[in-house]
Amino acid sequence: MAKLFIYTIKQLLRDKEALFWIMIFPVIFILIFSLFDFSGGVNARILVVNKSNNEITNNLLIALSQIGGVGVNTSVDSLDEAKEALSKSKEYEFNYEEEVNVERPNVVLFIPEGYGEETYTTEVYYNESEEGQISPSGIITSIVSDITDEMVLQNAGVENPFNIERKGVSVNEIGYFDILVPGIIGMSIMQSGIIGMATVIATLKEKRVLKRLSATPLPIWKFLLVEVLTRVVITIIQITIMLSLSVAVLGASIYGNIPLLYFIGIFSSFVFLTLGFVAAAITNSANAASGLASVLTTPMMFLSGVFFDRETLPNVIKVIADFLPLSPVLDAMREVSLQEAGFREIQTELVIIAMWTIVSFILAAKTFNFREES
Amino acid sequence: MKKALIVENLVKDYKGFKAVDGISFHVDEGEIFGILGPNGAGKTTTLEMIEGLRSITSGKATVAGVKIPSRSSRQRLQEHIGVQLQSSSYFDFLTLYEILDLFGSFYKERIDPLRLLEMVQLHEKKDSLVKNLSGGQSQRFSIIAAIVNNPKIVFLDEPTTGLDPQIRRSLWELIRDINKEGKTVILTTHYMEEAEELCNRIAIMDKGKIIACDSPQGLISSQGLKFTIKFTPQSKMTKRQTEKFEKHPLVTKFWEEKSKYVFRIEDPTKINDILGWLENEHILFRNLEILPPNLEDVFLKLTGKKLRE
Repeated sequence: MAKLFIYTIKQLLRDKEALFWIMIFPVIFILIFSLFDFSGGVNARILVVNKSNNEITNNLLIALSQIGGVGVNTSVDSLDEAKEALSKSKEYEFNYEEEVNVERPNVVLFIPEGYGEETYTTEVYYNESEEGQISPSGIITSIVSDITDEMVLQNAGVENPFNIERKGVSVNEIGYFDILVPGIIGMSIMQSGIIGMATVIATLKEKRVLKRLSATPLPIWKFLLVEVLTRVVITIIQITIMLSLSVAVLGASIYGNIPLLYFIGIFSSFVFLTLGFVAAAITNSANAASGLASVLTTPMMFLSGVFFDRETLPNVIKVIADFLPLSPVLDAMREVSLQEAGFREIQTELVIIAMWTIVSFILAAKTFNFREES
Repeated sequence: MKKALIVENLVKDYKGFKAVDGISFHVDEGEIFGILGPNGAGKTTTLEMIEGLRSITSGKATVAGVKIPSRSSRQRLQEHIGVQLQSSSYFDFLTLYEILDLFGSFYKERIDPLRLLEMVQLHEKKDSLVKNLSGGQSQRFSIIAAIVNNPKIVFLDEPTTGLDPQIRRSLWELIRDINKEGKTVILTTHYMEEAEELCNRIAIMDKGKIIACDSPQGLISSQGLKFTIKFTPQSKMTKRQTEKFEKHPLVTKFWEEKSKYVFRIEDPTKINDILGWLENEHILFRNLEILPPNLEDVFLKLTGKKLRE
């Protein structure tokens, strides 16, 4: 079996076309996206209408303006004026961490009276046409609610220092590119799994190599196992290339546990490999199989949220999208790489992936007939 | 004589269609045995059931001492047989040497890839890919790939289909060489010439049944088939002569074919009587062809149709 393994790897390395899709294509993707300037991930110009003006709100505003890409203006007193400014796109001076720029606002933060004492409710307004892939209002909302949480804890007498700095840093350094990298890694594992496996197996089927193999004493499951193992090795190489390229060369940030990322990649590759297998099983030619594989992968690429957040999908589609096999993979990868999630925190995702693996295994076993009995 | 293969009442039923309909035959060790028949006769299905590649509806077989069908015997069976499939290819991205090395690794017993490649003069191409071989070369390659485990029985499914006559002849040589090494060869073909020249014995198959099984000569002589004789006269026979010739007791059929006269006789040893008659009638001829009956005629007689229709 060792010989089979070596020769299977050799074949894959000689298959220039397959290598392109497995190795070069995702790298091109990453390179292209790294060219865009997402400037630290967010550019929020906040008009703050501060009705409290106490120590807590002052600290909050200082904390906000210390975040890279966040500018603050406190000159407006009335919410109506601020909202009008937002929709009419008037220009204001915004204080950034190290500079002052005259720009149009894209978020209004309304702090009511008695903030930090009677209430912790703030209101965030935004101009819908200004919301891009990373929503400035969303980020501001989460920063403010994080800070608010801290304050609630503190007021409740829980020993927890007012640690705005830490939260700020964590949000600060997650750029769109950082969100994208785990997405593209997940996407390429899916593609090389489904498309790669479908094409290889369908070609072997079409050229009757599988049948020829079944005329030898080699049990066919051993052959298929080696195919899968080979692809797992490829997945490891893929993850390594993409991680090192995006982190070391292109400056993406990965915060979480790298071995855990590899684990997710390898674990999820089984689903995609078996799905590729199913595609090969239910089609009659290599062309048809790779076509079907594209049909399976392309919608998943968009619906599961490689580039966009699934939250932006219409509700019904979102529910479906949540259960696509790629979705838990992307979720788990992002939770680990961006939020330093551990094994425990991604258990749900892993269970969904495992269920998909079982389903696709059953499908593969039911549909695949390597001897092509007619 | 020890039997390499015994087939008893083998049936393959595809939802009511009997692709193989209760066939029985045996092959002696050391024979080249041919299954001859038109496309769709059930030759490949028969072979693939015996090779353990297709399930058997009913009946049984003993292949190289292994009884089938049996759940446990597939691996043991395939250890001892060599299989060349009709129009199957090998891995696209492995060299000839690597493919043989890999296939050899599936078996307990194996022959050195270089020795195999030398057998078919492909040793200089050992680092080539299959796609860079000519039709004849790749067919030779697939035959040596079938004997990589030094099998007792080699199954060749239409080994020469689609090749030109010259290459076909060189493959016959290869098959004879393999047979000389003591391997039993079982092949299918729809070329009657191939069956006749290459095989010790032939089973003629049509519509899932074996309609005759014997040596090529035995098949031909058992059917009481006639020899065809053609001659080109120096001048045309008169009407009286042709009528008289047609009534000659030895001549069973007589007709004209372009500038030639053609007739059939049952016993070719009586040809002298005919020649004497022609001399008496002062009919001189330029050339004379004596065509023995062949398997095509056997097939035609047995089924009422031509082999390649």
